[in-house]
Amino acid sequence: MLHLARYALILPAVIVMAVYLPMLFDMSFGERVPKTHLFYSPVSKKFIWRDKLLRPAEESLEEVHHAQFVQMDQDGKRYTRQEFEKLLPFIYYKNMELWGLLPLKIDGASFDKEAIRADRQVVELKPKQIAGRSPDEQVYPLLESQPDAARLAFPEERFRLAGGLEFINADFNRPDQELSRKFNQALKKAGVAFPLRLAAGNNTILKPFDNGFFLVDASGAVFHLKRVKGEPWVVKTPIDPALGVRSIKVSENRRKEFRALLLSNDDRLFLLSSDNYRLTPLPLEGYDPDGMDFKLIINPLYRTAVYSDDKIIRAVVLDKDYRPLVSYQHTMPGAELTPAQSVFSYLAPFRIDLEDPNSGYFAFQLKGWGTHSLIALAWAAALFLVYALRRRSGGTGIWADGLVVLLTGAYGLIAVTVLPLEE
Amino acid sequence: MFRSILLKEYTKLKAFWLAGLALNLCVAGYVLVALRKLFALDHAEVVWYRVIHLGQTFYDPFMYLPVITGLFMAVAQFLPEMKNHRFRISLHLPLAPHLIVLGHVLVGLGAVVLILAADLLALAAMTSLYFPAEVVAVTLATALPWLLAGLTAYLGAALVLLEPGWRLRVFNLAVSLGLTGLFLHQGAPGAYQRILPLLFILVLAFTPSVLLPAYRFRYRKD
Repeated sequence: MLHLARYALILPAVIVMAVYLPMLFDMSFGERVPKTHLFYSPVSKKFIWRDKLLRPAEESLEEVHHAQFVQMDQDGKRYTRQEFEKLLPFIYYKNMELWGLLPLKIDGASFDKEAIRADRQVVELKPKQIAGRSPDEQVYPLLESQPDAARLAFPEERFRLAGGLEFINADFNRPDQELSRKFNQALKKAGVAFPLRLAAGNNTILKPFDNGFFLVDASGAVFHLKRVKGEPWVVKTPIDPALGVRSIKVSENRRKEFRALLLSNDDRLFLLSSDNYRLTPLPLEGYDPDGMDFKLIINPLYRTAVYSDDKIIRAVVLDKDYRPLVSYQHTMPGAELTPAQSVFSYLAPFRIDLEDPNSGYFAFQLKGWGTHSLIALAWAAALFLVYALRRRSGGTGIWADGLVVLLTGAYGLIAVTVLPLEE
Repeated sequence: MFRSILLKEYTKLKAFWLAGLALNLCVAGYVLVALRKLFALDHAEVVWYRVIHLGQTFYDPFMYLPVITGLFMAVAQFLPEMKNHRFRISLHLPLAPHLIVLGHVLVGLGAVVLILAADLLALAAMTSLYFPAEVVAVTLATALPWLLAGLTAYLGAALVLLEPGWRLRVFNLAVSLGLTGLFLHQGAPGAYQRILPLLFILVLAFTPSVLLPAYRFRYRKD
């Protein structure tokens, strides 16, 4: 019973130390190394990026307090912040205007402020935004797509997927049978095979217009649903049900080139066009939707698909028809351990993180550091051996303690020595 | 003898339990009034938007309430026992020390669990008045770790109060604080959903630790 009580304290102690000690170490000595911002310059036709280095650059072009931030291109050439922005005139077009550089002349074409604004768009897909990777109540507002007012407004009802659609009135917190029946009849008429298994929309009114919802039915077919003047408007899209839709992120942008980003079960990403719901595959070699942030940067000349995990950032430049032109990959400074993290990796064999940057859910994530972890385990075990020999106490208890230290390193060593075996 | 210990603890804690329950019900009442006000000031669909999509947690006052309740009950139960080492008298009863401590903890933990169950019921009832079942589910998944934090706070406080030595008292305090903190991380509503079973296991695994200071108290050398 005494042993049970002791290990009942040692186990939580190890977990608590593995969560908080690395966190405290990071707070005291660590530094946040943000992800690289990688772009393709339509001016120099080169990939350029902004990094925060772990150590200040030896020959910095920037002021001292900015010495860790560098702008450079794929040839290793450094740029000042202003030079960098001039290489990305479609992104920093407001500064171009301020500096009197508009209209831009690139490749014989001229771009004024209006032309740039009309053909700019950024669309992102982060792992957290994929269906099922974040907590979600899954009760959605189907907005009126053609409101009689200047701005969009939330309807009084929200719908849930309950085989078909079930609308719930917010004023009374009760299902609206009549509205549900009307929409389900329209869906049935359009050929929906119930039960519906996915609903994807952009649940905000802070957007230029409403594009409704995409619904995936039991057969895998994709339907487009809108509320127009209070009535259901349903279109069965030509998307092959065999594709296997995993997630859809609706995009409502004034350019109206595409309606959504569509992720398939085999990790391919597509743009769903506004005309006829065509799928345009994005050529993203090595893309892992569960571990990579994706961003598509559109400007009047190119589309740049940028995707990155926590170590490597990749970019593919595409033409207006989404054919690949040139690609590049860059290892980010954050890929290597900072000096403080490196020291810590020899002190403790692992850490436990509660938060997962790629998920909205908490998880107990055990993170080790390869051979450094083994060294951390070895020195803790050696110290424990010295401790055990000096105590000269035997029995199974000391072996059990040894096993704890062998598995948990410094954390276990602290716990078993602070809570010594007692007779 | 074991039943006598249960009865003694029940008699000792009854008034404190009622006080704890009253405090928790007052907070539940406050949350209900605040919730009604939300719907009085805005359209229902806008409140739903704020709660469902912006992650507004109207039940925030519940967050630290279980911890306060757990601490309160542990202090009410064990602080008098520590005065002049009265607990040592209990430990000399003709019963194994672990059964004596178990009797105390069963009553104390049971009292905390009953109050927290009332919180959970109140939260479920008031949420289901205004929101659909999906929101009720996420609300409970958000509040459950807070309730578990109440249990670790009770167990941790018992660990600290029962421990006779200062060195281990500090260690127990650090572990208990850290463990309780694990249940109170800020995240999106429902973020704990997938690790709730693990958290339950962690609380269960932590529970027998209270026996350790009792043994040390009974057979103390320092």
